[in-house]
Amino acid sequence: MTARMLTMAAVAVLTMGCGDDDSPTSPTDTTPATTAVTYAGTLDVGGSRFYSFTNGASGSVTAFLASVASPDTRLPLTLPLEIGIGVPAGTGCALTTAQIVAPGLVSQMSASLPAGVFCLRVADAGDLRGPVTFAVRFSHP
Amino acid sequence: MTPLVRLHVLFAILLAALTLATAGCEDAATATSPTPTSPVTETFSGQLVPGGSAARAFTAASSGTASITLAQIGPPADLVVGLGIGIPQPNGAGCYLTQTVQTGASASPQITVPVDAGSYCLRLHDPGTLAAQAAFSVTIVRP
Repeated sequence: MTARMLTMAAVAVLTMGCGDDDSPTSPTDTTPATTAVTYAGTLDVGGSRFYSFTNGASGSVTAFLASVASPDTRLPLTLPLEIGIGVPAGTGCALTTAQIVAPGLVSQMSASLPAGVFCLRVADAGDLRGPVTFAVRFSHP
Repeated sequence: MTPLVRLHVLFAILLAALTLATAGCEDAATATSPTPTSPVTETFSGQLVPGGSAARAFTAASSGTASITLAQIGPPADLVVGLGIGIPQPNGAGCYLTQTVQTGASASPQITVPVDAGSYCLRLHDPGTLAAQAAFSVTIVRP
């Protein structure tokens, strides 16, 4: 072994990097981002309202009836309303799933849907004796 | 310097270089315990005026239980006001209330509700009992 070879080996050792120099990897696919929406309005006796939204990807749509309140006092009521999810049809919302729920702050409805246009409908379940304000929070992909 | 001595010197240099090159390779990071992040306690203090209301938004980082305590209100100390919980209005104008109670100050939560992760708000309002401005302090414990 010559002195020149030893010198080159020393230089190589000094300039080498440490281990764990893995190449960057492509990000792993994660759950699609969801959009949270608050849909609020006024509901008359026997009435219904709906809100159209677009699912950017397939995934779960969850919703809860956050508030039913008197339009005069703004104080909350415990009246249940019907909330449902469907597909816009003409000037309405053709429901594919619906249920009657009382106001709460945890998810009360969940539906697995493909990408596309859907609607969330809020309706009097038969308990209203006068107009109320409502607020529904839902999230969709 | 004879060739043999020169070779020994170069071996010594190579050994030193190897030592230096590997000295920085240890994973020196010390594992630390994660800081508990839930539940979180927040305090909302202010002044409530006759006929007025006060609202505060807060965020639940995960699903769990939120509890609201009207810890102080007054003077007078036996004042009763409205305390409610709901979700914030998008324009920041207040809360869409889910439930409300009329209550005085207490050391125990007056409202305890299950919540999903997301944004919520509490609202304090005068139900007609205030004769003058009153100071309040509300404690929020949220996931």
